[in-house]
Amino acid sequence: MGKYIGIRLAHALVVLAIVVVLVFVIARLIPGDAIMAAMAGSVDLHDPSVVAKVRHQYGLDQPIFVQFAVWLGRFVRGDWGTSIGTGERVLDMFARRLPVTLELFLGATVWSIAVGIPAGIIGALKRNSTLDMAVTAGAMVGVSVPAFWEAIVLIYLFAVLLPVFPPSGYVPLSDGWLANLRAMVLPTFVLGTHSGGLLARYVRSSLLEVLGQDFIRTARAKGFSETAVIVKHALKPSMIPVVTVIGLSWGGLLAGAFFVEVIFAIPGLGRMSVEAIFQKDYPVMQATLIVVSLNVLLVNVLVDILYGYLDPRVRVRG
Amino acid sequence: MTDAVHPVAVIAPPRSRNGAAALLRAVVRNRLARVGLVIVVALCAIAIFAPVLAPYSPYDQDLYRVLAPPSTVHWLGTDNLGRDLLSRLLFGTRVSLFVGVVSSLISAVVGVVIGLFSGFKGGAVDALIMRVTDAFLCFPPLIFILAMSAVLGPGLQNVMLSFALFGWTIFARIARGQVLLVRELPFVEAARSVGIPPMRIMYRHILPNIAPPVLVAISIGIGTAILIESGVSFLGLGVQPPLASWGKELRVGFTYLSAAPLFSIAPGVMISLAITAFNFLGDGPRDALDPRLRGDGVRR
Repeated sequence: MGKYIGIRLAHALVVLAIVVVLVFVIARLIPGDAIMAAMAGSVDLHDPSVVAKVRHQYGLDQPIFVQFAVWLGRFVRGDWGTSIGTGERVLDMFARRLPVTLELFLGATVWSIAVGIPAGIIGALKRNSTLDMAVTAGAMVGVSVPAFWEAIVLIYLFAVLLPVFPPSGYVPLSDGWLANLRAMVLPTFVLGTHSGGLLARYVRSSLLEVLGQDFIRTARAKGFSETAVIVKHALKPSMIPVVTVIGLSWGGLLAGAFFVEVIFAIPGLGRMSVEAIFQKDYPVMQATLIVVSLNVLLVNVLVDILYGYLDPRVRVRG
Repeated sequence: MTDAVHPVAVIAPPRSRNGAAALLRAVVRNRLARVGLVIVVALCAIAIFAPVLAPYSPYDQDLYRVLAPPSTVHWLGTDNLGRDLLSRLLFGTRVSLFVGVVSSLISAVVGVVIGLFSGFKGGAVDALIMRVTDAFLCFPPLIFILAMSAVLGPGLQNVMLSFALFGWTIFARIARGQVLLVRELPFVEAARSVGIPPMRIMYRHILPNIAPPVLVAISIGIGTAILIESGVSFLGLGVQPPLASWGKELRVGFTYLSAAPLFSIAPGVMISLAITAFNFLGDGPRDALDPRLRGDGVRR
């Protein structure tokens, strides 16, 4: 197990290094200098002395490798730069918005598990029936319907036609949990639908695979009831890949949060990132890309390790 | 990483020289895939015959009929500039399908070439290529493409370019996974033993055998590209006016949700329908081609 974890961590470090280089390169792909492009409205770019001063201030007059080393060194030490749009420290912006996005994520994850796992089990146990068809089609629709459209339809139904929930806005928990819950129901539902559909599909496939294996046939041959075969023998091993799916859907949740926070006017990381992308606020853009990819990478490593722990065959193939 | 249960990586090669025929059979036999195929064919017909089917030009404005409700004159009503919504949606099919097909095909060609090379070569080259794909896959596609669209500037071409810059990684992983399965099979060993050059083995013997999962992935990739194009256009970085696009209509329509709900709901139906159809089309054969799901494990 130790060797397996070591290999996974080594892979992750290499991937992280490539990610960091990629993010740096993406920011440098902006035509002209990213900083100059972003500051075009606030400084006189026709004045060479002003341009030279700004370039020097942001280290753009240094060779590219020096710029990379300086940027990386600062980033690792927690100096993520200052937002060009707001003038605020980027790290502070992240810290302030993180709890809001985490609340949304937590709600969406709980909702997707509550719907996805039972639906997948029903689909597998009733394979090729009308119920299975409904589960499969429902899961596929859940995966296929864009979050931004689902959000609009729900706003129309439950905020315009039937004003049960507010159409947008965020109420902090400190202002009362009921008001917070009312504001978060629709965004959480929208964000969790995609993962719920994904989860239902994987649980169904995984359970079907397990049900086709020899040890299940043996259990049946021994005379166990069908309920005992499924509950005691099939469910546990079929849940192993689900760990991976929850990890895989993490990235999807992050992307979904971009739309959900914009449409519902929730002041989280997603909305901040979209605003940064539009304003070409490249310190925030870079930090977003790093944080998002690091998040996905860490979840992937954790899932790999957990998967290796749960399924010895993966460790051996390692 | 986390490729242990990757939805496409588990597909075993059909071990037949006629993989495409097997794939077609799988589509015809699967109910959802058949539904997907019918919808995809209908969307293609709409895209091709949009000028004939559309009752009005998608660009003709009638400022006296702004945000008109559905009527016999305008079946889905009009948009904020008095343009016929149905006509704009029909013409929008062209944009969405074009972006979906072109982006997915470019990604597939680039990805399959890289994946073939990586899997066939093995060793350090393979390890490096796979780590690079892992690095790309750390970015959720929409966030990567959104960032790239912001960097490259708004527009359809840049959305397609951004998609291809990301999309190749998925095809590379699928192709490489399949090559690893196929390259040890006796017919490849036989080809090697009679001195056929590696490039010819890859092109003539391995590529046809990895085609089915790649075709499945292209179908799902088209759906993903349509989703991303509409998402990026919804946020304002994709298709630019006056071109009609489902995502763009949805974005403008959202502003008038109370006054003209169909303005945003109808484009969303088209987007969802197209994505679902391509997913059905890709997903049905995937189940059929996955040897682990072929057996019927449930007692009835």
